[in-house]
Amino acid sequence: MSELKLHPFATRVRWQRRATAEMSHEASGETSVGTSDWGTVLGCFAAAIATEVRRAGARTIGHIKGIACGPGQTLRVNCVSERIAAEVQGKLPADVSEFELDLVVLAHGLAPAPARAAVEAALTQTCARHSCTGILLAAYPGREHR
Amino acid sequence: MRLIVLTGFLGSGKTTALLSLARELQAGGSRVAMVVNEIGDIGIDDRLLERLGGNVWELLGGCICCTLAGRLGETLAEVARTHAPDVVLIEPSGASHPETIDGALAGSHGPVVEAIARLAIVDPLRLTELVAVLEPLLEAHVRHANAVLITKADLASAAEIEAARNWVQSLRADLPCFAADLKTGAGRPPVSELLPCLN
Repeated sequence: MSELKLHPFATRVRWQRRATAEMSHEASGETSVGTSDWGTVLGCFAAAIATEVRRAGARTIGHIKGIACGPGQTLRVNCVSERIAAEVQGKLPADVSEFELDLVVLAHGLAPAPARAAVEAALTQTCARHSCTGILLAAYPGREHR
Repeated sequence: MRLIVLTGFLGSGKTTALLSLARELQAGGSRVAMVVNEIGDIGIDDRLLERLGGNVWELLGGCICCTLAGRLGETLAEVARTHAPDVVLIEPSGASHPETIDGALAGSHGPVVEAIARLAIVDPLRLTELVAVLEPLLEAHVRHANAVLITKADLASAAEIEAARNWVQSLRADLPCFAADLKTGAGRPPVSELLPCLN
């Protein structure tokens, strides 16, 4: 047992549907965002982060949460454990091909550098699986709470 | 002005509970304000609540139990001055300790606070795992509460809810304790019954 040691890692991710010419999903068995939706993609992303932060040594996941705001619509994703499915609420307009997700990773016992690495690994996995592109635009390693 | 402080660990369902309580209070004619504290530098919950039409004040990039303790009082004063609410719902970060939140509230001067109610939010899906790692913090949420809301009743098994209820009772047998699905409101009593100390 321990006292809570929490160092938040916040970031903004730009998601884009991959251009048709670049898509290789038909050959590789990948799913494109055109056939799944952004909610599915973000649920997959949050679950992958949960797995990666535990692999990186987090004692327990506090909360992985993100929000993307489109015109009049909001897509929100939450994940609190690698063994509990990520929760996705809301949606973005069907024709959205690009948007930004604000994301916060709160994991007990994990410093910002491995948290960032976990997010990057999850991003790579998710993009490969769903034929989309995700770019970390900015990162905000916040103050540690002890 | 009455305050409802929702304590609970990260991801336990505090924002969903806050939204549920705010809707009921607003429907009953109360002027409601929400103060949301997030430890990260990007606000997620406040943006959701704003999108849903709430009067939200955000405290980002720290915790109101320690680094932002002084700003809680300032924020409450601003809320009182600009919005004059009947009820302020306060969502501290999930990392905050209830004892130190009480200290921050006690040190906040300015707005007239008629009553403070503390509602502890308990996640039955992760209780065993979290108690094994962070028992003192989780216990403190219950020990300092006026009532307990066990969330995620739509996802938890009957055994998980029962275990959560037993754990609460082992700490504070006197506490009102309810299990609810806060997305639909099923199982959550009205605020007057949940927190009679506010009446």
